[in-house]
Amino acid sequence: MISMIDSSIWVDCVRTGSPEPLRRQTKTLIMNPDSVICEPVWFELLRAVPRRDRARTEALLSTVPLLSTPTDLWLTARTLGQKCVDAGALPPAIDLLIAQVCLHHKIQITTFDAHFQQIGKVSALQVNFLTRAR
Amino acid sequence: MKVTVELSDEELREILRITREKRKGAAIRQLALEALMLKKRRELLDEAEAGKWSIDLPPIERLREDRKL
Repeated sequence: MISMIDSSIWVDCVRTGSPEPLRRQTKTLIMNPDSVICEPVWFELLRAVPRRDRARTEALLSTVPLLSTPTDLWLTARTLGQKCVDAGALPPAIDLLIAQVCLHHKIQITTFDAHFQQIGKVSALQVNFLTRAR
Repeated sequence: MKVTVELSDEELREILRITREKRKGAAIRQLALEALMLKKRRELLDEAEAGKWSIDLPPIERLREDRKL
């Protein structure tokens, strides 16, 4: 099944000091041939990567198929956020953008971030929510 | 650059079926590029797993703290 790999997975895979079991778990997820990525994940990761690591990070992310960004992303993500607010949840803005790309392409998201479960309650988002290996 | 690849009829039929391409060249190109990307991904992640490199990133919880006013 095609799955968007959320930034939470990427960060735990390559972050300095990430525990060994967590690195192994996230590596397996990223190595799935059906993994995909989107521009909001690219943005979220690369805006925080120090200069010396940027080229290698871009090389790694480039090995994963990039889904197109819907032209109406800002509008549809806003509506999605409003549905969450009406249900009493306020997920981070970047989560709404990533979730909306998944909804547009009708694919699931693989994540450690529970905010996507909130989004899944008010939309058709399929969430593969995982707990971190210890 | 053009290259010549020897394949059996059965292998070629499988490649066209798997890639859903109609043209043989395009199908083989697609398969080769996908394999290349996966190999590159594994190489980089193997190096990371072996401790050859890592990135000084904050935890995702900090990256996703929306603005505090």
